[in-house]
Amino acid sequence: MIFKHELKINLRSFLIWTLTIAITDFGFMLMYPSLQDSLKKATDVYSNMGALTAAFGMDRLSMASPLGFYGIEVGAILSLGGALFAAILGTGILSKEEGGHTSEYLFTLPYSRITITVQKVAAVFMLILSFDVVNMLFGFLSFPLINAPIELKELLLYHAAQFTMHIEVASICVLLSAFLKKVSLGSGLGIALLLYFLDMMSRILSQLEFAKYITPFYYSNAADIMVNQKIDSMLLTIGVGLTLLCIFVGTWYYNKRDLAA
Amino acid sequence: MEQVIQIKDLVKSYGKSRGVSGISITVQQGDFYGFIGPNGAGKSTTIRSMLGLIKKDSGCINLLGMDIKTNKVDILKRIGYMPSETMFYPTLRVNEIIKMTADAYQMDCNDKANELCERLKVDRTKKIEELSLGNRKKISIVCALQHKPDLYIFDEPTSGLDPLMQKEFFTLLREVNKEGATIFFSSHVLSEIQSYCNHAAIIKEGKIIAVDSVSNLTKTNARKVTLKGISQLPLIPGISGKTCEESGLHFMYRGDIKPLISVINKLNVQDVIIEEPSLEEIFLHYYEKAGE
Repeated sequence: MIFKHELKINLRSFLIWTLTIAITDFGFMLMYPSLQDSLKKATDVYSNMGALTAAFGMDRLSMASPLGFYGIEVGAILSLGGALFAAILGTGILSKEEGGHTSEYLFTLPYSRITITVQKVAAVFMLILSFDVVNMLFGFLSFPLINAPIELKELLLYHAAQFTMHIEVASICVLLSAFLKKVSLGSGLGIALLLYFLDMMSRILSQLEFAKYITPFYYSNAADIMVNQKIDSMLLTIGVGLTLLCIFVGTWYYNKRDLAA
Repeated sequence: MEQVIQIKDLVKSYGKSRGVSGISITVQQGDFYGFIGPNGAGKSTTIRSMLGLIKKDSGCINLLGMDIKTNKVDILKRIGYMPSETMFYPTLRVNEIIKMTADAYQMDCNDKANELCERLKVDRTKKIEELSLGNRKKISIVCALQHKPDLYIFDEPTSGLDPLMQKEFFTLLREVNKEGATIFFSSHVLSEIQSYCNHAAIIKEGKIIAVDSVSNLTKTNARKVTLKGISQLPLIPGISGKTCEESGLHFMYRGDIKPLISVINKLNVQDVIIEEPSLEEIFLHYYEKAGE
């Protein structure tokens, strides 16, 4: 019941975020044929921007190809937009009850606190899954419309990694939410942006290379996945481990702490 | 008779702030039990501990024969709770909240919910964000009563309700109480406790300072005395709260009435009124006594 309730409560936000990003990305892809010539000319410029070229993956993917354009241009919007959406969902999922003074209603219904937390987290994951599936379908649909082949393996791997990354960002924010007594969207969005910039910095600065083990944006990077045709299994394992740890610690802490009215 | 509420030596503090310290309460099945105290005395802390919203530091809480720590869900299934600050999800409609609550108890509460909505004049089509506190309270009453629980816990339920709705609310409570349900009623409106409760506990600064039947609490040997025509009084043991107003000299007297009468006999008084104090005055009396 809590699961359905959360889906219902978040439906409007889900539709806004999902359709905005999916339609924007779809629109970019439809614009690709008209940009193709200028992108070919610009490829040389893009590939000679030094560290920035590497940060955006343009040293490995070419914007002059439909898959490269999808990975770099569309991927940037999808990965960051999805992470921000995941952060908003995760940060509010537990803290909104105390922030909105509904905790006394919800937590005096005959459910254990663990049941409520698990169903809430499951709803967040379902919304993120739906977000990523819709975006993937729009992405898949765009390729035949511009007469480009669907490179199935690359695209499936990329979208699977995006989904895992979004889930990880949401889980970190769920952990944060378990400690908060009111919704702090700023903190959640800050975490998502920090992880995004950590990925870029780790690719530019060798001193920050260790950050690739922290930020999920690293293993979900379009250029790495599409060129190597695989997701870095070690980084993915770390990411899944961190996701499980955040959910476990968040649920454990939320189950034992006092709830404000 | 079954003890529906058994609280023993409940202690709860919020860091350095006091919550409640050493509270013990026993409520029998079918009782209408009042829990009296001013704001900040520890009423809500006690109730929130009873419902598992906050974790006690020590002590035991047994509701309906079960420990709240280990049987919370089973206990909550048999409880109807109405918080003092009633809030629901703003974007949902009244109907959706009532159904969501009924679903949580896995019961078809349609008939009872319809009856309650009719009696309380609840507009089920409105969104929560459009409702006043009083109207939200009415929904909270429906949510607390529709599944016909065995134990009702109310935390200052009448604030925000208009007098007509308060009357209907107490009629509903009397009906469920007659059917055998137990009611635990926290309030600082003493007239409500005096009118409806059988037993009551008075809480002050996190401690219970008096527990008894409401009739015993009001039948103390304390008397409210008014003497007209004088402004000074000789020293009499047992007098407290002396005030001199235009209407006369007022004080509370506690003790044997004969010595007081013999002293009054010697005074030049125009009129004497000796009456039982109201629960309000007894409450203040207990508070002064506990403060000494």
